[in-house]
Amino acid sequence: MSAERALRSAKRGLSPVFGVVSRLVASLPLLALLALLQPASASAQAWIREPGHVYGKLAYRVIRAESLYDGDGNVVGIAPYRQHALGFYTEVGIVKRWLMLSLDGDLFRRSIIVDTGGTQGLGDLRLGLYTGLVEAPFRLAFGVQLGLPTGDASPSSGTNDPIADGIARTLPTGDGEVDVALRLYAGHSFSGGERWPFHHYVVADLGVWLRSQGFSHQAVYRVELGTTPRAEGWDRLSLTLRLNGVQTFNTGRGNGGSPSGLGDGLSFLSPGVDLSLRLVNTLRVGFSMDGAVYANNLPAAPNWQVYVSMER
Amino acid sequence: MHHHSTSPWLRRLRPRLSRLTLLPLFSLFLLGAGILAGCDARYIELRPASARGDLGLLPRPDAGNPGDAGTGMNDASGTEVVVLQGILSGLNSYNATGTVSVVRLGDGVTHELRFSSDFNSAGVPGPVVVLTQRDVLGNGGIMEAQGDVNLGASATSGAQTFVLPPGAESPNYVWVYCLPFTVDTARAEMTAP
Repeated sequence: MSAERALRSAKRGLSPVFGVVSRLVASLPLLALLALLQPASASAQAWIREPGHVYGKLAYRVIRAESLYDGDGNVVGIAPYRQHALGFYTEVGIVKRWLMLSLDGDLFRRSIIVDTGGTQGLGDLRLGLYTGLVEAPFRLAFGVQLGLPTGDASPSSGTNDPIADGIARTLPTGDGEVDVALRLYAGHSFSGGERWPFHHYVVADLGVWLRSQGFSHQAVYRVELGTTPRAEGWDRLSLTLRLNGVQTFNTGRGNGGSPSGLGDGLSFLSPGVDLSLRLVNTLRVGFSMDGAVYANNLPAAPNWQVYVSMER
Repeated sequence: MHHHSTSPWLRRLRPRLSRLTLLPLFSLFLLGAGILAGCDARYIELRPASARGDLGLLPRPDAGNPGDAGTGMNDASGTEVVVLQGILSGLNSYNATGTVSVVRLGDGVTHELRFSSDFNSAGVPGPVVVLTQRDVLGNGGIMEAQGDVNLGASATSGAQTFVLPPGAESPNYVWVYCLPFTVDTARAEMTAP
């Protein structure tokens, strides 16, 4: 992930160009492995990978909610709701500076209303293309992400029970529409003075998420600060603080039809924290938690995540 | 044998080509596999057997044109009479507006529950209309044993009409209820006009 690259760059004396591993990564088996690594919250960033360099992440996410942000942003009690997801994220450099490709999504998504019913299946996938615009004094990149409706927007119970069908429809695994997000990413890595014991990076992005099938368009934004200690041994740790936001352009209340976060009218402002540990080379394990300051049409509970990531 | 020379630019391009070809192909493979895998989600039943397929749910009869709600005359056999009515109000931070009426049709036997055209309630998942004699519903859910009657799927706005089953003509309360999440979003206390 660019976070790690940014921190490595900071370590190397603020060079704007990240060091990259020179070995080629063109073998399919390795890519297959990497594709099985990562989560959906990650997104490509301001640093365009060198050709053939890859990043992969595999994450397990869980939400345990007993309340819901409704379409008006009010928190209302609901029957216990659980959402489990196995997400992946991959990023591959194609052309130096100019082109990087990403693919992410949920390989498996399971939504449960406790003691009532649930659905499970493949989630939506998203393909991204990124190009570098500026390399110094800070990084600036432009990205286009294409959302593909590989999930099920209107699951059925497969029975004649209308209640079971109603429950199933409440718990889609996809949004059922093709969408396009256009985003600008800015990033910078830095170390304080020589005595400052940490390396840092910051990333900010801003964009518009163009939806179809009657969904309202949305603004998307993010600010992220990453920190890792300089001290040997401690430099295996990395702490990231972030603020993610989505704001619907729909001034109404949205459909409010699902707690899955896949319905129309979705808005939120979500602070999050991520702590990861580098095990060997670039293999990391991490843990993160994202909450919400406010939201519409989302479960009112933290999104917990554990993950494994690797880059070459 | 003649040795074929390769131009320098082609030699430079070749390793890049392998990446440029493999990586998008791999991505397309993943996408294709996802799509071909069949996007249908599988349903997981977690309700106890005693709760499946009933919850007081009645088959939804053909209730006529919702736009007819509130009209005065039914057919040639007689005049409609509003026997109960109530004003809907929101619950659990949800807003609701509109009125609901129990109307005895001209045949003197059939009763309908009618929501007014200005009815509006929260856009929750899986809303149903429930009749009760008790004044609470909430997480306890629909209880047939206590006389609760589930009339089935509800709209969240506009006029709608339900034919009432025999014995359900005199509810104390009418609810709009999010069945999957067991949240009551609107209630009307029914009284004689």
